Amino acid sequence: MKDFVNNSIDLNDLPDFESVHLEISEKNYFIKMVMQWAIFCLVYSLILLALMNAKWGIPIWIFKLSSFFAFSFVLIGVFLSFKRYKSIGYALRQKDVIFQRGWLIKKTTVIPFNRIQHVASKQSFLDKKLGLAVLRIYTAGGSGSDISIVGLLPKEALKIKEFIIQLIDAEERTE
Amino acid sequence: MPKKEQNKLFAIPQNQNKLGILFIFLYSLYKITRGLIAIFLYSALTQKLSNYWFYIVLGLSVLFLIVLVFSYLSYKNFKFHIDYKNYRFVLKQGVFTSNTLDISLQRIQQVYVKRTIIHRIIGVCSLVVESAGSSDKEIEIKALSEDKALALQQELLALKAEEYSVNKELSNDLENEVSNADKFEQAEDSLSKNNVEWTYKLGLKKLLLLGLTSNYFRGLGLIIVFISTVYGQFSQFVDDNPYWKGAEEYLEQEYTSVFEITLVLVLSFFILFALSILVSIIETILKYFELKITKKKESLEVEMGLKTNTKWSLNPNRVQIVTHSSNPLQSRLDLHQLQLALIGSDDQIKKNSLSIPALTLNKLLQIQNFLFSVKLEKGEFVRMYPVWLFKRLVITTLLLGGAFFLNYFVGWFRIELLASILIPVGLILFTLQFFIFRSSKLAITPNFVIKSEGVWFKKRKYIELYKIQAFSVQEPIFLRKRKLVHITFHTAAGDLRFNYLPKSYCAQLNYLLYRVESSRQAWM
Repeated sequence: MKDFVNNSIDLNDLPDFESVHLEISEKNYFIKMVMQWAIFCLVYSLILLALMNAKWGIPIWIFKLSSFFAFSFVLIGVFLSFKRYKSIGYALRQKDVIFQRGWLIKKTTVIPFNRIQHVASKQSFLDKKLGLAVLRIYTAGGSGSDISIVGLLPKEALKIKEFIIQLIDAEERTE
Repeated sequence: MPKKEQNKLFAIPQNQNKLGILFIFLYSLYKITRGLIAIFLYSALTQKLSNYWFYIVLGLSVLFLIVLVFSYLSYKNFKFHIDYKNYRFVLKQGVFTSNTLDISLQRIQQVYVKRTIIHRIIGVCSLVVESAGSSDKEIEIKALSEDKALALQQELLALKAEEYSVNKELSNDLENEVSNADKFEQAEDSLSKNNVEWTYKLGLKKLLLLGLTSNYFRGLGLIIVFISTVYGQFSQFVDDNPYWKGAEEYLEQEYTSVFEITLVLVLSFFILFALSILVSIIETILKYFELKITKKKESLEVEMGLKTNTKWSLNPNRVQIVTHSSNPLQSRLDLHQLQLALIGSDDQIKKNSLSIPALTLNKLLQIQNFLFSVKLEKGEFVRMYPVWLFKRLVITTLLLGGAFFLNYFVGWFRIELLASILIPVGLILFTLQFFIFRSSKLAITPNFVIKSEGVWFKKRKYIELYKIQAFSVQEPIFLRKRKLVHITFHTAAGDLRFNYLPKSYCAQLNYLLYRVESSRQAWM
């Protein structure tokens, strides 16, 4: 496809979405993911403990194995959280928003502003405690193309949301 | 406007056709019968309930009466009208409760006429109104006379178009005003019925040909589903039945030699194959019976089906992905299928896709031309990176090798026997992978994304660039070193994905973004 010719436009003149500098996410997002893992592992260990005391005659080696799993879960969880935290990046351009996430499968989604249906900023319980927010951007493409920009400061999320909404409104007015 | 006055028929709340009572009654009975049929058959066959037939008849008559009253109330309390002032379609329903539903005409996505067998017997049809939104997506007016249904359909669509252009007029964009005039003309046109450009009908002969050349695996699947359902319903009856046991014993005693078992297997395979073909033909006829396409100036009307006759009115704006498919056999017979992915009221793609089968290539191109806003152009295709083929070959080899390895330890088959089966299978798989690789192609032309795929059932999918909502580029960790990516194009009616592309191809996506972001065409 290198010899693709297009009379009206030169591909090299177009702005390249891959060379855009991406903003990274907040450090607290990493802490949030670790806390989520910690909660999961805590619940897991509690269940193990309860089962151990239940005297159902479950052989002891099962518990040993499970504890080993729990321990490796913690390590893997922290490692994956760190990789995910490192992989997250977003950028706003004049006409679209770019969002990148994932380490095992790095996924970059680009949504033009004139295809955004609506924007919502969300905060879970942990988000509130850690001072984080999630910006969810909805398109008509459904779950496949909707994105959640994680690891934002609430202030930033609000600012981006307002920016996009104002753009969408302007778009609708000129249409 | 005098036209409007005359059409204000729907301004007052009104009931359905009186035959609606009969329809609701029969439909409810049908549903109840379908639910209870297993119990009836079971009791009839085992003769367990024969002593209680008086009570059964009594119970059934009470049921009849209840259903009749229910049907009457359901008919009586169902009222609909169009609120011309606020541009809303209002509907009141409910048997004991009262439920008012009103839909903004702007949000209506699709209005079509539907006829089931019961409808045909009584001589009415139902009108389905689909709207965008999270709840109450679909409403159905169950019984209307055909004239009235068509009039209401036209009225709703015309009003929707009218409001669309009224809204648009508020803007003072010069470019848009031209198209406004167009839209307005179209709305006016749709009020007058006589703007048919051409019609296309599908005869029984073509339908048979289509069934014969279609995918038999579907037929086979249907048979398997049917058998398992029936078996599930009657398994208890089967266990109790002395005949069945006798048959089982007969089979066990009579068929013992390898040759006989093989013969039975081969025979049943052929019977199953023939049945699959038969089922495929029957399914095709049921689905596409009396297919009729009417091309009007601004819309395409498609009507088909024996059991449930559905009439769609298609607007090119709602079509997001167009798929053209056929196989070499059908291609020779000039049978081509067009599948349209439509924006609908929910996420299920299956429900919102419309298949138009058995078109001649000429007609298919005509329809495509109507659906696309610009002429289809040729583009340069790229294939997947050959690593894909290499990977598939490695996986196939590993699987085959694994089978030999396993057999070495377990020893179920002799090595010669296994080799004589697996080596040809392996060769077939290898060639298949090669052909899959060769047929998968992608092109981004100035106005379209085009994807080709399929070895026997060849498919070509088209998306107009301005209908793309977003795209995603995936880089799995194991492909990062080779600089390969998977690209997914998202539209409002489903995604299109192409794997194993070189990363340099992403430059094309910049062009796509440029097209989407500079486009002022409404994507729906």
